[in-house]
This record gives sequence, structure tokens and C-alpha cells, in this order.
Amino acid sequence: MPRTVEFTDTEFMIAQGARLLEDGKSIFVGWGIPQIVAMLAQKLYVPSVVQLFEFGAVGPRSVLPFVRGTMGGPQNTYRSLQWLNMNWAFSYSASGYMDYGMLGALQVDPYGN
Amino acid sequence: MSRIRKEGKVEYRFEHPDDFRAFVRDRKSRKTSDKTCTASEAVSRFVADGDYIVYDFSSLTRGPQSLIREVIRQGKKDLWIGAEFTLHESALLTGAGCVTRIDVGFLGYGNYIGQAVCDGRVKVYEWTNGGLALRILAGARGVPFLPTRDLLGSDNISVSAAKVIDDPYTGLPVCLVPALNPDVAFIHVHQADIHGDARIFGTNLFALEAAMASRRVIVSAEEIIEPEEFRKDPMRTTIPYFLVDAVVHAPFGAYPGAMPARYEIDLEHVDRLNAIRNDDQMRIYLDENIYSVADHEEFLDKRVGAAKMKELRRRATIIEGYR
Repeated sequence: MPRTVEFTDTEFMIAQGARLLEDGKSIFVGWGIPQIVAMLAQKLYVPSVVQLFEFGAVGPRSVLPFVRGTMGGPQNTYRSLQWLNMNWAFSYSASGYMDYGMLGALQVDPYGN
Repeated sequence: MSRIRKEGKVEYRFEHPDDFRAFVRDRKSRKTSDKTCTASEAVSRFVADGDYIVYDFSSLTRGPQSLIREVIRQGKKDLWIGAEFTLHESALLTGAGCVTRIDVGFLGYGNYIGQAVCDGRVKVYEWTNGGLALRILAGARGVPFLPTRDLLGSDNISVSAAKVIDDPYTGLPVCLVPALNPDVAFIHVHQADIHGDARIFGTNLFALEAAMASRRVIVSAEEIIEPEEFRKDPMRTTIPYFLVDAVVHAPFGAYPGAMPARYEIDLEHVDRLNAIRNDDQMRIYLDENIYSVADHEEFLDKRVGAAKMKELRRRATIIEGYR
């Protein structure tokens, strides 16, 4: 019997985003929806992906349920490999250690602007 | 002299490194003393109209909210803030008429702020998260600027005061951000002693850099501990006492935000803040939570209450990593 699943546009976007990540790579994770994408991807597809949060949480393993509206709290930064600060996070990025960046945008056009 | 290929033309707070060094030499003491005082005394003594204030962390996590509420209560004016994330504190400071300029990393929760910007009540200059953090690092590092390859990828630079030059070593375009030496830093911490030594557990934005780069530093702390405890565990000292001017004992000082391993965020109160859309609603919030109470303790007593505080403490179940 076919199963019908209902989902919102946002949920669709999250699921699609989660499928884009590669295992064994690193990703700079921005505030909000990107956090959920990264969490879903890590649980389903890319268990060894290394996340980085901009204030220096390296390799966080955020716990569920996702605590909305925060980023630096204990749930989001749970069992990180390392806790640093913003200048170090951007050092990791600038010296090439981040393979992907994922940010939420207010508006985007079809070309990625 | 390097040719400037491109530069943003907004105003920026800047202090010559030698002037800052002279201030540190003459006006900051290396001696230990009891620096504890109330938030009222600290803000009254060290925050003046027109000052540039930076703070660590955010309205949602380990923010110096009780100090910020005190700034609003004292009616400070024409402040310039370095807001890595503009959240409730920026909205409240703008709504209360305290802040006229904001250097932004990430402009968040824009409903009230967005309207204030459109109305011209507050000016926003955009440095990006990395750019603003780098400015403070430059201020701490004693140099007039630091270079970065950030800010080159978009036109964001035009709403900052960054300058792009040709790097003398490679010929590549490189972006310079000017050093930032704030007048005051507000930093909320887990533990401090009476001299000003401080510990933060978890991540931070730029706590040590801001403490070093700012003329005056007010630390608000959940807990006051003995000075010798710092020397027993030097790896965990975040800020040494000689950077600090005042220590305010402020349990629940980050409320309504979370304090990792101490208490959780009060999402109900945060939702109320997010719901502020206009000046009437802002006025109601400010009256109820700031102007009608004498200090942080009365705020906690009469507006938050022991039951709520107990519940938020109970929810802070993640302790590991924060010792």
C-alpha cells in the first residue's frame, strides 16, 4: 500500500541539503537551518563529517531535540572535539580546512546569488 | 605606499595603537585589589555616553544581559556597540534610545532592528562575523590593522570601513580591517575572583581579545571563587585580573539566555522579546523588565521568580565539558 508523506518546503530543503554532503569532509555550519541539515546528514548519510560552528565548536555532535534559536548552547555543542573561539574558527576556514560552507540566506536567486 | 584598490567609506571607531598603549601603561593597574561592586556602580563608573561597548557572548548564550539592562536603566546615550550577533540586546538598546550605531557581524532577529535601521534611528555597519572578530584581535595584538582574505567575495565591503590593497608579498588583493579598541567590554563568565581573574567554560566569541583590546572591562560572574583556584589550574584561566576593572557577582546574569551547565534558556521570555514589533510594545517590555525594577536581583525576584529559576536550572542537564 503506497504511503503518503506530507512535508513542508523547509523540510524538503533540509532533506535535499542533507543528501549533498560527503562523508569524511568538513563543513562550516551557519546558524539555523544549516544546523538541522548537518545533524540530519550526520545521522543518516555522513557519520564522519566534521562540523564547525563559527564561534569555535569543532566537531560538535548536537543532541536532539534540536534547541531552536541558539547556537552556542550545550545541546548544540555537545561532545565537540574542541572548543575555541571565533578567530580560530575563521582560521580553520581561511587556511583551507573547511571543505564546505553552509549558510542560511534570506533571499537567493537561481544562480546562487 | 600600497595602492588602495577598494575601500568602504563608513565611519569606524579607531584608536592609534600608541594611544592605547599609553592608556594601558598609565591608567590600567597591574596590582591586585578587590574589584567587586554592583552592576549599578560598575556601569555608572565605567560607561559614559558615546562609549563603544563590545560584549561576549550573545543574548541567547552567556550574555552580559544584567549589565546591558543596567545600561538601559541608567539611560546611557549615543552608544556604539560591537554586536557580533544583533539579537535582543540590540533591539532593547535601540528601543531604549541608548544606541545610535552598531558594528555588526550577523544581523539577527531583525524585526525591531530592521525597522529602526529603515527609520534612520540606528546606523548599522557590516563587518561580518570574522571581520569584526579580526578587528578586535588587531586591537589586542597592538597593530593598526590585520589583513584577511575575507570580505573580498562580495560587495559587503562597501558597508564597512575595510580597505583592499595589493599584498606586498604575493601581489594578491588582501583586505585590511582596522583595529578596534572598545571603551568598554562586558563579559559574562562562569567563575571570577575578586581581583578579576575569570573563567569561561565552553566556547566564546573573542573574550580574551576583547578584554585585552578594551579600555575598561566589566566581568559579570555566576560564581565568585578564591584567587588561588586559578593558579591551581592555569590552563583554564580565560582572562587574567590585570585586564579587568570591575567584577559583578551576577547569578542568572545571562537570563533570559542560557548559561551552559548552570541554567537553560527561557524560551517563553525570549519569544516575548521576539514578538516586540513596535515602540509601544518595546516600551511595555522596557517598563516591566527594566525601568520598574531597581536592579538585577529585584528583576529576578519579581519578574522571573524562584520557581522559574529552579526549572531553568533543572533543565541544564549537560554538565560535562563545563567544569
